[in-house]
Amino acid sequence: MDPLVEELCGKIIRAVKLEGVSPSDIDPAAPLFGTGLGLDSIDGLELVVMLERDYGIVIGSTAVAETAFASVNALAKFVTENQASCKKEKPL
Amino acid sequence: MDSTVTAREFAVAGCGVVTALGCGMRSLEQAVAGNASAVRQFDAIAGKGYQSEVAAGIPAAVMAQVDSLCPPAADTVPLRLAFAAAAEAKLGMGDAWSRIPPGRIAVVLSTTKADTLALEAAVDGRPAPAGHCRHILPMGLAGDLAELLGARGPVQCVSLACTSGIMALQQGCTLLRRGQADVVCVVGVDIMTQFVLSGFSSLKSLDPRGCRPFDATRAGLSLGEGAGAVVLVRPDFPAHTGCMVIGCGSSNDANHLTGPSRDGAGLALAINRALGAASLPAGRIEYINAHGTGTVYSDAMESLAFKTVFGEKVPPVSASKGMFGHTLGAAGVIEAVVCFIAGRSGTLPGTPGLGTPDPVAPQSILARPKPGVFPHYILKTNSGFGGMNAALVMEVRNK
Amino acid sequence: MKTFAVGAASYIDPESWGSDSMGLRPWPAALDRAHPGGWWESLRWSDFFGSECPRFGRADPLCKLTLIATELLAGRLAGLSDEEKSGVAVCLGTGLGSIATDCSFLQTRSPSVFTYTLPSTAIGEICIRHKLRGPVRCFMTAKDGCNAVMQEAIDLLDNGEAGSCLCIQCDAIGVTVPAGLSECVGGASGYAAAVFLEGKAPHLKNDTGRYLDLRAVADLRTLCRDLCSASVLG
Repeated sequence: MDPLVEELCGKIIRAVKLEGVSPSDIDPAAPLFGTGLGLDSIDGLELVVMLERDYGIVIGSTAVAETAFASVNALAKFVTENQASCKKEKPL
Repeated sequence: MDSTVTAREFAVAGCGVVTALGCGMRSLEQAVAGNASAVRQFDAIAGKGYQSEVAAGIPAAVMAQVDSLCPPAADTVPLRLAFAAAAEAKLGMGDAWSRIPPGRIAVVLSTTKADTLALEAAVDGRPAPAGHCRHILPMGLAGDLAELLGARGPVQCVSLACTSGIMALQQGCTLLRRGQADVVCVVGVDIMTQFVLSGFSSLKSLDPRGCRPFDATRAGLSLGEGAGAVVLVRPDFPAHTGCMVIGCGSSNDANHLTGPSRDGAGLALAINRALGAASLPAGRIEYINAHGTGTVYSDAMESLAFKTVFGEKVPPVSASKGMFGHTLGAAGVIEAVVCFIAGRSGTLPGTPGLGTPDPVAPQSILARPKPGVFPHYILKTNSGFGGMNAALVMEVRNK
Repeated sequence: MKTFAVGAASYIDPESWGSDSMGLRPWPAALDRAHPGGWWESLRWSDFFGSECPRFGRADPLCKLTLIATELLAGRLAGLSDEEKSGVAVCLGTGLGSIATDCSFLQTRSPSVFTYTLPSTAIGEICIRHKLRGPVRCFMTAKDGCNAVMQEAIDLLDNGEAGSCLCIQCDAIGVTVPAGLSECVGGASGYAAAVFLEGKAPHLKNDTGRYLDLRAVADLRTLCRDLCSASVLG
C-alpha cells in the first residue's frame, strides 16, 4: 500500500473513532461516505479538522470536500497536490 | 377517565421576554411591527476566531435593565435572564398570581446548556463567576428560579435541543392536564458563550454575514441569547389573555444526528400530530412561525414539510431568527411569544434578513410584516439536532 | 388502574448487564472499572452484540449506555411493523445529561464531540438505529430521579399519543470531571435502565401476558433491575 494511503487510513480511523477497524480493513478505492466506510457529515468535519491540523490544507468549499473525500485514494491525491501547491506558494 | 385528563386546551395568562432587541414585551412588539433586527456585528465576540462575528448578543444596556429587575439572589446570567422574563409574564397576570397557593405553581425550564459560563470556568480551572456551579445542571437553575418566583409546585427541565421550548410548553400543558398545578410558568433561556460560538463554528453552521432565513443565498445561522416566559393556566382560570395552546406534536427523523432529513417527513409528522391533538384541519391554520435558522438544508427541509402538510396552499410563513438570532433552548418559547404578539396585535411578522426568497420556499413567505391580519389559528414549529421536530398549535380568541 | 403491558426490559451498571429475557450477568473480568473516563470506556460493541453499530466508537458516554440498554431489548422492537414503529414514543430521563461530554468539547473543540453535547442526541441515536419516529421526550431530572419519565410514559399511553413507549433512564460520568464541578455532579456514575411498554392492558397483539401497574413504580432504575434479575411481573 502507498505509504500516504496507509498513513491517511490510520488518521481517518483516529479522527472519526472507528471502532475495531485497522488500516488494512479499509479499501482505499471505496467511498468514504454513505456506502463503503459509512461516514457521515459529522465525520466529514472531523476530516476537515484533521487535514488542516496535520497537513496544513484548508478545505474551502463543499465541492472541494466532495472531490477530496470521495475515497482514501482520492484523498491521497488531493493531499499530494495541495501540499505541493502550498510549498510552491509559500517557499520556506 | 379523570376530568383533568379530558382538558385539551390551555390559556396563556402572561408573557415575558428578553432578547438582544431589549428587555420586555414592548421591545419585541416594536420589532415585530417594524421588522427590526438585532443581528449585527457584535464586538464582544470579534477577533476570537469564530466563524462569524455577527450575532444577536444582549447589549450591555439591555443587560443593565435586566439586572435592575433582579434580586441579588439572581446571581448567574441565565438565572437573571430567566427571572426577568418570568417576572414580566407574572406581572401580566396582575394580582391573580399572588392568590395562587405556591404549591400549585409549577415551573418548566427549557434550556440546552444552562450556565456554560460556570462550565467554561470549571474546565479552565478558574472560579465560577458567581462563585458556584449550581446552574450548570438545568435542575439547579430551575430550582433557584422557582424559589425566586415563589413557586413551590413541580419543577421540570426539558432538554430536546432546539425543540426544547415547544416541548416545555407541551409539558406545561401536561402538568395542568394532570392536575399537578394550577399555574405553570414555562421559561426558556440560553446564553451565548464560547461554548456555543465555538461549537457552531466547528460545525461551520454560522453565516458570517448574518442569517437570512429562506433566502436564496442563505449560508447559515446567527446565534442569539435571551429568555422567554409564558404563564399557562386552565381555560376556566379567571384571568387570561384568550390566547390558547390547543395542540402539540413531536417526532424524530430517524435519519441523521445533525442534518435534517431532506424530505421534511419528520417535521410533517410532528405538524400532523399537533394538528391531530388540536382536532384542527390543516386548512384552518392562518399563520406559520417557522424554525427558519437560515441554514441551507434546514430551511429547505421545512419548506418541503409545509408543502407536504398544506399542499399548494401554505399559509403565510415567516421566521423570526433574523430579529433576535437563534436562541437555542429559548427559541421555542420566545418564538411562541412572537406568535402571541401576532395574534394580539393583528400583524403577521416579517422575516428580517430575507431578500430574495429561495425558489423552494413557500410562496406565502412574508419578508415584511403584514398589518391588519388577525390570525385565529397559528402554527409554531422548531427542529433540532438529533433529528428532533416539534410543532405547537395556538388559537387566538377574542377576550 | 394504570396497567401496562411490559414488552421487555434491560439494565446495565458497573457490575452487571442484561435483560429480562437473559437475566443479569456480570461483565467480563477484562472490563476496566477504574477507567478514568468511566467503566464503559473499555467496552466494545462487537464483544456483546452480533450486529454492527458502526458509529459506537464515536458516541459519547450517555449515547453508548443508552444504545447498549436499547439493544438489549431490541428483539421486541424488531417485531414491530414500520407503522407500529412510527408510533413508538421515546422518553429519556437523565440527571447529568451530557456534562462529561460538555467538558470534553471545551477541551477538544471537536465538531463531532459538539454534536454529543445535548442529552437528546442519545434519543437521536436510538431513533436512527431502530427507526423510531417518536413522539419524543427528554427530561433533565434531579440526579437519579426517574419520576418524570414514568409519569410521562403513563400519560403518553393513557391519552393515546403513543401506541407504545421506550422509557430510558441513564447517567454516565467518569471521574475525570474538572474539580470545580464535583459539588454539582457528585462522584462518578454510570448506569442505564430501559423498559419497553407495549401499551395499555388488555393488550392483545403479541401479548407477553406481563402487566404492571405503573403508579406503583417510583423508580425506573429499580424497576428495570428487578425486571432483569427476578420475576416481578404478574
